[in-house]
Amino acid sequence: MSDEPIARKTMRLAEREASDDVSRLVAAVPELLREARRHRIGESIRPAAFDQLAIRALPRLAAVTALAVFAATTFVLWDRGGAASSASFESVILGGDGDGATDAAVDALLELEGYDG
Amino acid sequence: MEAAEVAEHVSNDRTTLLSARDGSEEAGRLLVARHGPSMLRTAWHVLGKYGGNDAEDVVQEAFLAALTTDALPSGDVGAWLRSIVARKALDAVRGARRRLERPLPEVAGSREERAAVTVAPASVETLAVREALARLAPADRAVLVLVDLLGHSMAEAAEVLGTTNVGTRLRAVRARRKLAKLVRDGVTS
Repeated sequence: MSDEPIARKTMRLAEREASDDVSRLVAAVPELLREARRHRIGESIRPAAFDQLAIRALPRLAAVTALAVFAATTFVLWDRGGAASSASFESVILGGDGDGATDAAVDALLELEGYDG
Repeated sequence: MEAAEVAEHVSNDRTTLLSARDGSEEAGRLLVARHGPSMLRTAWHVLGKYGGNDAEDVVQEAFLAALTTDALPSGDVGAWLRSIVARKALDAVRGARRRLERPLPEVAGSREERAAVTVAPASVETLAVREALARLAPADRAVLVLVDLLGHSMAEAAEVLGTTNVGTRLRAVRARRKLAKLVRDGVTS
């Protein structure tokens, strides 16, 4: 006998003495239908809420990303050009020991984050 | 069953499904009564448990998915429902495994006592084949159920399980071989 009929026969045997009574499932139908209705209503609301969130968050995320890329590029170029300098990235950021471009980037970042301290 | 009868049956089932989606309790009950038993059996095989509440939970989840999706089965509604059950049962097994990675609070009573409450008694022969099936990976059982028991093609089973056609075929061959060996050996080792 090949393996396929054995597999089929084994599964048939395994289910033989188990009860496939669905009375509890049938009794749960009204609740299932209510749940399905809630799901559908939830799904119809969710895209609108998601759109609102995306409209507000995406431009901010894009701006933060652009500024982060700009700051990183500035740092790399500055680091490469000023090998003799001992100033670290932190000192440029915190002390303003740079060409002014990084300061502008940090200012913009803080402004975007709503930091005014 | 004649071809015309089959077509009428499929059409009726689809109408019943649509009515249930529209909120008809009668249609919902009819659908559960007609397809619930085969859905339960599908869940048992994939879960590797022949009784208890887990299979009922999986069937309920499958019905909920069938009622909330906009998709309609192109063929047999029962086969479509059983496919959803197989996928949900596999998800349930995987979810349970992930949860078991964290320690659970101890439930009162020994393992045997709890099993006796939730699983119906069965003969030694039935228990032996169940043990053989339990030794397969859940995904292997799911493939065997879909292909060998429910008669899906490899491509259909692959679609249900989110795998490739070749992967499903290889899994089926390996699972059959392993199961046949376990059955021949009497699942003693």
